[in-house]
Amino acid sequence: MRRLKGEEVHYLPGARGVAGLFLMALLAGCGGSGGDESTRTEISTNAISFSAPAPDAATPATQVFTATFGDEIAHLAVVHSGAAISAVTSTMNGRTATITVEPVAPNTVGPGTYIGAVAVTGYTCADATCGKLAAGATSTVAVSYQVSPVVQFVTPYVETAGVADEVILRGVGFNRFLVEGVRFGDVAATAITQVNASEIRATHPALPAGDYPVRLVSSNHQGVVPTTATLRVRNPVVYAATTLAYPTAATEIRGLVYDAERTSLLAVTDAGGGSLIRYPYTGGAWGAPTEVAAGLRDVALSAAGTTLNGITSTTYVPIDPVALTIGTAITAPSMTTDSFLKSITVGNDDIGLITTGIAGSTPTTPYLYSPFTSALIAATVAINNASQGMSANGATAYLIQGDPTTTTDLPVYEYTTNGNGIATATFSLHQNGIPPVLARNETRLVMNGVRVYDQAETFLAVLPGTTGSVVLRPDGKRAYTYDRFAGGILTFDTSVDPGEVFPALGPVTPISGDPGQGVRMIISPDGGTLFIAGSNQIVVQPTPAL
Amino acid sequence: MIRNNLCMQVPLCVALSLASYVASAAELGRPTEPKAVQKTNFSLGLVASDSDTKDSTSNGTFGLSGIATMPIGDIVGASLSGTYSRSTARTSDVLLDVSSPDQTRPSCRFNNTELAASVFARWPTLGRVSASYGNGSLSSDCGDQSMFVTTGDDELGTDNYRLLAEAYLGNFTLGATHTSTELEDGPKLESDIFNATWYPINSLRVTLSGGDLYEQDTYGIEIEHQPEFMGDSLGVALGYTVVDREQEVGTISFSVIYHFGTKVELKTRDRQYR
Repeated sequence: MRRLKGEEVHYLPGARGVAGLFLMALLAGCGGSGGDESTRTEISTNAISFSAPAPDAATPATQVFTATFGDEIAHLAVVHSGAAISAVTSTMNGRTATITVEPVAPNTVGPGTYIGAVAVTGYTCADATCGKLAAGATSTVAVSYQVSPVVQFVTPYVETAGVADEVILRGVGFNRFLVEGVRFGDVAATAITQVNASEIRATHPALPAGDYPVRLVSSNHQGVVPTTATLRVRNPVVYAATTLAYPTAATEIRGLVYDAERTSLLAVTDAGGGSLIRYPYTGGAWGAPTEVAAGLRDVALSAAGTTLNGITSTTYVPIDPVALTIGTAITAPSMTTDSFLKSITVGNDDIGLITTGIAGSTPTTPYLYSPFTSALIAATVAINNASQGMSANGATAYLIQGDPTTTTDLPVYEYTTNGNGIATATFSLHQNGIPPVLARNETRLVMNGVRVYDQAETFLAVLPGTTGSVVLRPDGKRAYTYDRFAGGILTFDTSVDPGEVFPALGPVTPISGDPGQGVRMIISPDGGTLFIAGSNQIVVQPTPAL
Repeated sequence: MIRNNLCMQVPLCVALSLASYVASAAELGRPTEPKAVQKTNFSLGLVASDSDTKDSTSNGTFGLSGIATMPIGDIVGASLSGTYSRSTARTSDVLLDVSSPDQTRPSCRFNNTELAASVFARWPTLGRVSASYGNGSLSSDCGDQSMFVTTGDDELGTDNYRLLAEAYLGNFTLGATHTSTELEDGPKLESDIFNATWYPINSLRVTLSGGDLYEQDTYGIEIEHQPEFMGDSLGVALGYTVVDREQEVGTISFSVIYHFGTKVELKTRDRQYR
């Protein structure tokens, strides 16, 4: 029936009132606040911690927690945040989810403290047809992850008992924690300077002989900061003047290393194509030398003294510093034809700097050897038959270039271990066959055996032109030259700038034998003994007391 | 238990009451409209909502919906509807990450599609009874492993059956809906919703609702307006619902609906076209 315009429809009396009461009654009848339990999600833990003792350590094991949720939960969402979490996986078993948290590899994030979270949210149907979901309770698991910094090396790793001095700590992650101090065993450093993330310079007080693990003191690091560095403090050894013969006659001394930890002397001669000789000193006497022919050109102890790094003309070879057993050789890649590996030093990061040579005035590429990757990597510069010298703290090396035909000065290069960069120094020279010599802490530098510079590469004065070899006392305040023409050892005060020429202190000190030609000289870390090696033999000579 | 029994029986009661009421009205010769749906019509809507759970995550949802309603004889009508919506959960409030504040946090996204068909009988001056079937699909993407509990993966199918009864009482409408939803490989959800609608003017509707999903009180209010200056073709609705539980869930929703070809007042649309 069509309704006419203006006609009103009449409803049952009180319909509106009935409707209102009806609705209110229904809503009241359906009242109920139950069901809260059925929408909850309970987790078995509120916090998870991971810890890796070093950036190169293995990835910590995964950790597991469970989430138990109510009957009405339709969907379980697991999300996470934080750089330290690699993945979160979950498996369902009834109303319980087993949730596995996998941390990232320590070397991915590096040293530091990281936090994150895993949030578990149960969702219920938000409407009658479950067309939408509504979040129930969210349970959050806090995740913390500490990747510890590590002190890898301390250099020099052998120190003299009773003498306070500065050493260099190398490692990783020093800037990711608050470094408040350095301890040598239980003894605190008297001063520290944090250079950057991988280097700290610390001064230890006078220590008795012993081995001291070197650790960082950090209040925001959980637990003891790991270390692989040990400072080995040794009593000074007083060597009597003597000579040490080569087991096999030689015509050239190629390398000379004093192993202060084990009181032995290591020499490389040209005998047999490159022999390595070890002279042990035990019980106050030099023992019988051992010799191995391995075609070596030079050797250098690793930063922790655990390996003797040797080079042949084309390969790097690791050598046991006591047994002299030769390890697996690694061939230098892409060498210039007819070039050869010439010399090796090792920085305080344990990376070796290897110079190269060639017959003729031709620049060739140096190499860096990394024990961490067991690889030789070519440097980005080419240097002409470079000779090198490294400071005892392993921080700096200088490379001087040129061959016998070179008459013009060429740039001198400086190698900085922290960063492994090779850059030109502020002066130029061409070499005369005497490698650069640096004081222990880089305070003095002697080039070509005669020209003395300070740490800022400011030229100070010259030593006698008849110098055959030179060493600096560890503190840099004395230079000792082997001067064949003067008849022995001359001493110079290099702590002052004398003007043009350093005057000798006192008379020449005769030595106990003739080392021969092509002399190389080194000084013991305590500064008490000179080792002078030439084509004939090795001369052990107490340092002049001047 | 008494409450539950009461709630379960209410839709049936409403339907019976409505039928009785219709019969009485017929006997009394009350004027009724002859057709359940005056003519076939289409509507398309945009829906946005924001749902916030206390001390947990919040969701933002945006979706599209469409419905076609057609007459089948005088008192019977049918409708087909489809819905797509996408929800994004905001997880920043529940995830801690002070060490990398700029790092993107994972979030959860839920996609929902649903198709439904309804058959109803309506007496435009008295009320309506309706039966519906819907099939829906939910999927989730939460970055990490997350899953629907019953299926063990990131998808969930649903089937729902719905009975609805409405009584038109002047400027009021009373309604009750019983919905039974079967979750894939899971339990069946039974819920009842009761509505009371008031039309202060013919282009404005205020609806109060109450329900018992999960045996938890659910209350809602929705205001829909169909402004005359838009030609009686566009409706705008704003609503708010709250689930009264320990972690209260509040949802505010907003929708815009365009009705194709039917320029009628809202009250008329509700009772003769939808």
